[in-house]
Amino acid sequence: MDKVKSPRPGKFLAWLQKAWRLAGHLDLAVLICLFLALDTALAYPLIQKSLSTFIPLGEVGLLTWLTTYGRFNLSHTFWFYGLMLGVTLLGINAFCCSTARVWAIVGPGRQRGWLYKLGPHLTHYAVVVMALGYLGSYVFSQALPGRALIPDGPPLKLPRNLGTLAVSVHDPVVYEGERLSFFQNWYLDPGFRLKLTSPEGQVTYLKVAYNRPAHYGGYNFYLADFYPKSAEPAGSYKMVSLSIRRDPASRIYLAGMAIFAVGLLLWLVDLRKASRLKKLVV
Amino acid sequence: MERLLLSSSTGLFGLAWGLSPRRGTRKLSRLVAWLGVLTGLVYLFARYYGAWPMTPMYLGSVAVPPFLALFGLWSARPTQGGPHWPGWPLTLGLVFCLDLLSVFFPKDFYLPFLKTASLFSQAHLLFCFLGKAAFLLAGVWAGLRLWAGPGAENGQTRLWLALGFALWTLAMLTGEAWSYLGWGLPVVWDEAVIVCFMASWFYYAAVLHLFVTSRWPRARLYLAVAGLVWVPLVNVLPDLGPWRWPPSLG
Repeated sequence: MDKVKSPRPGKFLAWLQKAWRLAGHLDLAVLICLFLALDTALAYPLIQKSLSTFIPLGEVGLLTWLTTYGRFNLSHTFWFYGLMLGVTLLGINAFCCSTARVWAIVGPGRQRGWLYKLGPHLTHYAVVVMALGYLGSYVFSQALPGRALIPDGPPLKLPRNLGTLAVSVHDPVVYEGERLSFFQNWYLDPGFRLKLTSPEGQVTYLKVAYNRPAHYGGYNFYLADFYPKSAEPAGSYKMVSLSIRRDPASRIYLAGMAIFAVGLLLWLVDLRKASRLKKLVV
Repeated sequence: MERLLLSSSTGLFGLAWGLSPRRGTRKLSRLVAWLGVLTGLVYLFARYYGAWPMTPMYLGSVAVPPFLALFGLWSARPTQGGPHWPGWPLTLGLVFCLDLLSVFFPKDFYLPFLKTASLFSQAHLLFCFLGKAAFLLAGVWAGLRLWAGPGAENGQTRLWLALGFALWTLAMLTGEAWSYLGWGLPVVWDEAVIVCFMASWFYYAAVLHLFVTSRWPRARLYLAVAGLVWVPLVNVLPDLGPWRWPPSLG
């Protein structure tokens, strides 16, 4: 059997450095961004033509969607595969580009105002964190089916032995002004309250409204819809639709968003400090 | 009444544009443009007044012109040559064309819905308007640079690109926060327009990288100028409705 020649460590390291530099090259970042811009712009008419293919993406999870809706509607969904590929490449590029430079900024020979120089690199890392967060969210999040409830009606059994969930109505707020004529007597706040009963019989009450989810036992409860929307004719609510989700990765992408905002702010301050903008703005 | 305000704003911008190329009437053009901005902003205020605390729908094409004109007036301030700023007629031409589109292809008559009663939703929309206007002005400045050389631009393209990208990113972050609180997802696929938003973020991320690092000096200017077509096509077009003739004026 022939001997397998192992590359010399020096050569391998040089190759690795070259590959790293190439992966983090700025021209590559520009090309990936332009590719993603064209890919997503092309997606608009395709989604419009086939909206029902994309709506379940948030419900069934990424892997299931890719192997069902995505795979069997390739003429409308091919761009989504391009988006995933492009974002992955952009994440790798941003990571390689910044990691090589960050050490020079924060290392021993750092200069005055080094913190502001970190701004663009923070945004690069944030892109990686957000991309991982989205991926985690679409892969690992769990959406519960059968979430339509009748207020003061039978409770819904929650998974993972969390107990039961029932909905009641307390002090709904109805619009009674004149400014929004189309909204007369419509509910501004339907006043839904969740009654969560643990297997031990412990009861927790939580308020839920649009854009105001309730949190319990690792699950988030979102008000998706309700009926009727108006207080007239008088009568009790007939239906409450809740979106119940467990998304362990949501904190990752929320953290990524916060890091991006901080990085962006530092970068803008740095631009101004460096008098690049100062002369023009003041 | 609201549509009358919008039509008046369009008429004023058209008049300002007509007055802008002639040397003797440029000051008057600025004055008329100010009136157009005020009328356009009053229209926007009326739309917000009629929807608050919900977010008025499909204002994208209607709200960009007054903000673009406002940024144009800022660019045409005395230190930049005042009314003789060479980008003024082009900016006003853009403003007028965008306003005309929103008059003849209206979509801003949809009623708002309760889920848009969120500060994140309001902030998202406002940052979108401002971001689009800043991108368009960056295109005007880049065009000037190509046409008249570096002295005519003085780093303004990068300034407006940076500002536009920051605003667009804020729009993205507030939109995601709203999406998370309202639906529990970072991206909601119920609206196809979400990909148009992403497309412009990627496009301007590419252009800004070129400007920040001084690479591809000519190509980056052409890409910034191409934004004058990109933004209307990708981000204004989805906010337009069907052709309407005669346009509703009252």
